[in-house]
Amino acid sequence: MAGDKGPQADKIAAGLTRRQLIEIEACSRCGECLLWCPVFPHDPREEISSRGKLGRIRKLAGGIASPSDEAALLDGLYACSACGQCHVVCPIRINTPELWEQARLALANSGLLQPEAQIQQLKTIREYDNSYGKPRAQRGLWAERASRAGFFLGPVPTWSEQQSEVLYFAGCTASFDETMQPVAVQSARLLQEAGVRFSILGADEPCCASKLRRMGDNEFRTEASRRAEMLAGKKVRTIVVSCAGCFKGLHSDYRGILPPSVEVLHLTEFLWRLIREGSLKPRHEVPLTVTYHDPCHLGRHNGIYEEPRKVLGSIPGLHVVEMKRSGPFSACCGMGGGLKLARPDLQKKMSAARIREAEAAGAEAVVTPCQTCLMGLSAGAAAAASSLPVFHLNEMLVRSVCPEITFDTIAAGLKSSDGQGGRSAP
Amino acid sequence: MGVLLACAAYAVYAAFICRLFFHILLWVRASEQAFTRPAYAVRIRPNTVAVTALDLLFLRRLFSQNKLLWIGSWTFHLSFLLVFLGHMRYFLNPVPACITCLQPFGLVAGYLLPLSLILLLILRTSSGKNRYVSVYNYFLLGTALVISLSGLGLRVFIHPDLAEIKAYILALFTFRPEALPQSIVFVAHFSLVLFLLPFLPLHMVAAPLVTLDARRREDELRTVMHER
Ligand code: SF4
Ligand code: SF4
Repeated sequence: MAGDKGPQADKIAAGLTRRQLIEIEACSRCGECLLWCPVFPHDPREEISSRGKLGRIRKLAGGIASPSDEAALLDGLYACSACGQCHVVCPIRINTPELWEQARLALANSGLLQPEAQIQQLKTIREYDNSYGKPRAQRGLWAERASRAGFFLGPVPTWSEQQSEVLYFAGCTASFDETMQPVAVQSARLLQEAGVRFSILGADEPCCASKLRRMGDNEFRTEASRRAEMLAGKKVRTIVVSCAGCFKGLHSDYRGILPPSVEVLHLTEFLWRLIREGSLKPRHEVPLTVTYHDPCHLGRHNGIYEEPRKVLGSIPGLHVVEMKRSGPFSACCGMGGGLKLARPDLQKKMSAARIREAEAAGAEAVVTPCQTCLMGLSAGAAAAASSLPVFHLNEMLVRSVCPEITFDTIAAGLKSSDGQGGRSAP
Repeated sequence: MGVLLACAAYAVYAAFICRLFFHILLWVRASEQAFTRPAYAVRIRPNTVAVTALDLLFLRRLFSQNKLLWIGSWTFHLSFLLVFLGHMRYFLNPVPACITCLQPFGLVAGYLLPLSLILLLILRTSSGKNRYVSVYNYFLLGTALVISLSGLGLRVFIHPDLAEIKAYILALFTFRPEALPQSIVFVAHFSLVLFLLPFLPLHMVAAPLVTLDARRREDELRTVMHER
């Protein structure tokens, strides 16, 4: 690179791909991203916006950034949920979420420190292979305990017990966070209701490691390759994922790492397939007006807008109303991109704002198909002092298919059964 | 003064070319390798190129989001292009027929350009969003507005000696700078253009590449999404 640039500028420029170096120059400074960014209303500084971040990356890569530019960029990059809204509204279609991730990586490599909470989280994932810092052996306990409590139609085998073509991947949150374990239990039960022959990985299930990518960790590729090799070795045909973050990880970040013969589906895609084929039949009425919250990693990042809505639409009695911002324009709840670790204050405000939007839509409840959004929105309801309940999409389907295992029933059942769990991080 | 302005013009144009060259060099030398290797890379199809061209020609995304802003932005870009092409008659001798043909459109565009800039300024500042418009936005829009108004003034009210201006520009371009034309407004108009050039964003060059790549990635995603 040019000799007048500092070592950091060199590293940052070298850390960005050709496409990204062109992207930072492509911004027309129109400011459309700023109007839509879900963080900006809660922290209205230029560096928070996509336009502001791009400007500072441009300066860094061009070797003309001042220390205050560096500080502002770090501030903006980590006060961002990488929700992709700015990409969706950008008239030039700059691929901002990928740029933020790559810039985080380039900055970390150039010696600019990331927020301490994120460093700790990444350390935990590398050390424990989960984001909760729990022993790996506890990962499959949700299934054992739910089985003992009688929530399943039959055993939920691990892959070593039954080498099936379909694998249910629960993810760290639904495996370790006892408040979210009902999501995994309901997912497995719904698959059973549809007669799907599937298995789980139990204690062998790895963390998808997508958080390493989200937060700009160098080790992502190595870690992902190791996991992909393990998954490919099992010769599964379909991996069903119930967390939007893990879905983005396994489906999108593992592209080129996981063999293309392995199909990675989000649970809602798979459920809709089962409903359409007639193997899963929503029977009971669920007389409720709900609004659907699109998780960023499912919607904007992967274009899955229809399937979850079709699943909801197949439930008798359930009425779906849309929020002012939905589909590609759905406002982020703030749980992605490590934002909650770096700026928990912003996350709370974002989810509270989303809850208010749901209330304004006239919904009696908010439904989302991602356990991480579920956690975020629930915290948002508390922050907004709202009584609006927040449900996982599974809950709606369960009420229509097998109403005896509602979220609350499972939560109470798992609590009273022995074993471990408990909530810690992220 | 004439020599000074000529030197400034050479410096500004040289800097602009160097800036472009520097960026192109940076892009060529940069790694093409994305963080994860695209396994399902889709080649750019003619259809993708056509869609990208429509995106760029009609600013389609802006149209779908903000119709008023689209009117301002699209009118600005179109009239800027026509005015720019119209100005070619001062740089080329003999003037190509196609440039001559464009003159009536250029004339209309000369009125539309400041109007579109005023509309953009009004829309941006009336959005009610805190700091939606940056200082840079004000600077760019403001300077462009003064340039376009001075250009319109020259054309409609001042009527300077166009032959003299053309001779000055051609001499400048053939590295034989001559004395400045008489018109003060022309000198101001020309100086402001020189002043603005270093601050122009490079999106004119980079945006088409980015939009094309974004459309290609959409194709790629479609190939790996299920049942689509
Ligand atoms: S990715 Fe989302 S949070 Fe980050 S700058 Fe863009 S719109 Fe804002
Ligand atoms: S919307 Fe795109 S082009 Fe406009 S300011 Fe934001 S990043 Fe730049």
